[in-house]
Amino acid sequence: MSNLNKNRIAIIEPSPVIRIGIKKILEENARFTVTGIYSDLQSFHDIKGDKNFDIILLNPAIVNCYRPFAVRNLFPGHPDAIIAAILYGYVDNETLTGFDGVLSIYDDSEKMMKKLQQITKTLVSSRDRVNDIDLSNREKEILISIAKGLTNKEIADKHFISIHTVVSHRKNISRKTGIKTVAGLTLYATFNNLISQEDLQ
Amino acid sequence: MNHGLFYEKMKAADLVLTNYRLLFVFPGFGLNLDLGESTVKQICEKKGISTSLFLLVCNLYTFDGYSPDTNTLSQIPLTDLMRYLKNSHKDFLENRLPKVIDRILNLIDCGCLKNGEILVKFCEKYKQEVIAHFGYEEQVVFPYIRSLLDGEKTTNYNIKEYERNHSDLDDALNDLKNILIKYLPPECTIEKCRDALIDLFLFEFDLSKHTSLEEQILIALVERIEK
Repeated sequence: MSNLNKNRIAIIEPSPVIRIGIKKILEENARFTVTGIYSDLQSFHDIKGDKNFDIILLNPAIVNCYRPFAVRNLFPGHPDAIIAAILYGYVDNETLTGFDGVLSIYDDSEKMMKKLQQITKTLVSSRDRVNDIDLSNREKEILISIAKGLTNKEIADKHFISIHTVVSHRKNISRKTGIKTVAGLTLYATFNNLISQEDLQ
Repeated sequence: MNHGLFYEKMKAADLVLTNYRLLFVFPGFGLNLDLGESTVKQICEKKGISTSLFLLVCNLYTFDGYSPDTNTLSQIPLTDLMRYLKNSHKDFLENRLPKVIDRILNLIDCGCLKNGEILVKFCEKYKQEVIAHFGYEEQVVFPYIRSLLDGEKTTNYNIKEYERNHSDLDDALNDLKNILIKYLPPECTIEKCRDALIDLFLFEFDLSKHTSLEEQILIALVERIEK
């Protein structure tokens, strides 16, 4: 595999033993190449060179002074990079809020690899969806029927579509609104003035 | 790996100082504050609480992705775990949920919502769901486990059935959160709605930890004695 297709990784970690160890372990896999190793954030920003990273591994201990959500803001040049924490032990939930994933130094190479690949996958798929948010008119009509408590069969008959199509509309409505339950969709429909309380009597 | 977890020689007060949300765990153990300088172990022994169970619950609530090893798991007394779950059901139903619902009803009372009736219905329906969910556990699952512990043979039920039917109380909460955050009318100012949301977030977090206690720990322990 040429270097071009590999995931380029930066490691920012104060302990030289851990830095070098992680580099060694990750490079056992042909998909990864570690192209930058830094002891702290200062050197990450100061050292010149090719800094086009796909994945940034960072020990959260060195960013503790920042609020967790700000982790991404530490890397303005890398809006799309995956930022994963390097952990020596358990840390509280809040420290990890800003990170896309977590590696433990107790993981063996296979486990680290697996975790990184998993993070890469989920992130790419969630990014693909961002642009697709507004309900179509058809989806709004179906939503109104759902909110009124109609079954899939009744909705299919009413709108002259197959049950399969109803199910696929329901899936898309839930994905776009983030709302899964019928009761939730009913709330959504009233809050967005698609139906009134009287319609539901 | 147990690095960074809570342990029995720690001062009990330090647990709460590290993670204040453990305040929501305490009622399940019948534990009040007044912790003084006592260690976790001392407090647990004084109150007749299983130290292993107490630490397990605190660790689960505090550290993301924590999952106990088999050794830790084998020290958890099932009867104590069931007592804890039952106590927290009571706390959820008598204190936590009514508070969340009250906050939401306050939003309606202050007149900034015109869809109040539906929101009231939503809350009422959710409450019934929670009551049914807890009721099933207390009337079907726990008695079954107790009969297993007593060595009585029961052929008509096993814990797999519970695992399959463990309904999701999370979805509705998540929907409510989404709607409050995205679609409250502008008349509903942040000062008016933030308390309702914060209580909702806390409730949802605790309920999800409660669920993982049931799905990861309770089921695993029962599977061991079913064999």
